[in-house]
Amino acid sequence: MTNATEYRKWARRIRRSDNKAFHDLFMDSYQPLMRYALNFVKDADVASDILQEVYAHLWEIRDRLDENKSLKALLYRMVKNRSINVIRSKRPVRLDDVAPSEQPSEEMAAEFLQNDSGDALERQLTEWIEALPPRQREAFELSRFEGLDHHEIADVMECAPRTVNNHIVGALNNLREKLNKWKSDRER
Amino acid sequence: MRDSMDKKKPDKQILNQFPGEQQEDLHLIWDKARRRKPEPGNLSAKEMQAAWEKLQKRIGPTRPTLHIHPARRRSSSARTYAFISALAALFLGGFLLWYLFIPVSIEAPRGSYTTFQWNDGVRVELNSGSTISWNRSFTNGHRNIRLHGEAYFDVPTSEKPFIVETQTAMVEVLGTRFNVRSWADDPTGRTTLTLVEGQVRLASLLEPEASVLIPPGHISEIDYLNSVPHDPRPIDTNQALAWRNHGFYFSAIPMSEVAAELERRYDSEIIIGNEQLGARELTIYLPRPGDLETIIETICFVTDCRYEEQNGQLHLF
Repeated sequence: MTNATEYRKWARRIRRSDNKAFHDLFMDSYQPLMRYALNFVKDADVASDILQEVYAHLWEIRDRLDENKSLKALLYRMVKNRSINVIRSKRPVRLDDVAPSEQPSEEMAAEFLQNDSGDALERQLTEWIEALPPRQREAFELSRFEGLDHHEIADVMECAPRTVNNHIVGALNNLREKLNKWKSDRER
Repeated sequence: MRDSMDKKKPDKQILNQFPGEQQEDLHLIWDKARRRKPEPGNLSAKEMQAAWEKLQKRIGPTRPTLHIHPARRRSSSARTYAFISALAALFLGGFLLWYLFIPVSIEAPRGSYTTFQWNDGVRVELNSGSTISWNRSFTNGHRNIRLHGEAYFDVPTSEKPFIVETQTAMVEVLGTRFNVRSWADDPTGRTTLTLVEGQVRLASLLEPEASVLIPPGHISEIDYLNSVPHDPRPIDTNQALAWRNHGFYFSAIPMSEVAAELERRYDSEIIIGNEQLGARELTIYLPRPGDLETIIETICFVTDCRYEEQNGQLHLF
């Protein structure tokens, strides 16, 4: 995603109903947000419905946008909230709801192959990140994968920037321990 | 898409918090993790365009399109007639617009309270310095209220929803008794909801999908920082709604906010001498408070401060 200054400019222009700025924002943020939504809902159709709702709602509330607050963080937070709502509304899950996604589809197979690229350490790292405590993992992924700064992550996770720092430091400590163990196992 | 990640040096500063001998490993993890970022879905330009067009259809045209008819020649009497009818239409339209879109409001001036009841049985009590407003519409405009300040609502059970909007929050109910508090001079934009009976849904204005259901005898809050409402917590509603009987209840409230409430209720001016005193939190329940001076005396007794009156203002220090 593009940098914060550009986002601030877009926020200002979208507040004045500038559809061109809205279009630029859409084109810049759609794919990363799609990927982010897929972390939660695991279904491309559901994810794209969520994004449609998020952008439509953003346009509805455009006159209330605050250019001093991160528009990027707002988008991530809206996607997260809606995704969680979708997951909640699906509960209790019926067996036939779950079944299809448990089957490895072609897409998932492709994704698996893709994830399998990179060196051995990188593959290990993916596993280690997935095994982090949930809040640490969320903060770490928002930082490394989504490129959000600490204030934006604090906004998405609804906690203090100081706490975000603690989560990421905790995640790094966890990953470093795993790395040390991995290294000594290989030397043996 | 331009990637600005690597230009964002400040992020890497987090690694400086670690001891030197760990730096090498941590930089390795930091950079490798970046490369483990999942691919961004790889949607084609065509798919993106389709998603954009779907969105555009959904939000509708930004500006209404103007239909311009070619000018036709008309006789002068027809023109006069057209002019008069246009004027009448303008006048009537203007009145209709005014009637429908200029909101009606009810206010409880500082130092007083106001109670109001609509035909459908909805009753509202306004605390000092509060205003409610709504748009007249053909059917039930007053069931969509905007509130500045604090008010208690008694809404008889009905199929039609009743909505209260504040600076940060939206409360939707179907027949309950509840209290909403949201003062414009609160820098955090806080809205506090206290539910006495029934059930209501509290939602943020910015993110209506993040809402909570509040059970009776519970309180919840929204402000600019926390757009997701706090988890409801139990409260003694008699205390929380002490203002309805002209009493006070403050639970760990900073003196500056206490003073603002007293100013509104007694239409007076209170000046707090120093910041520490303004920030000091006060917990006090005064069901029958009496006059302002008695309250100030009580507050000064519990917070160990002094007061004096100067030119009609109360100074606390």
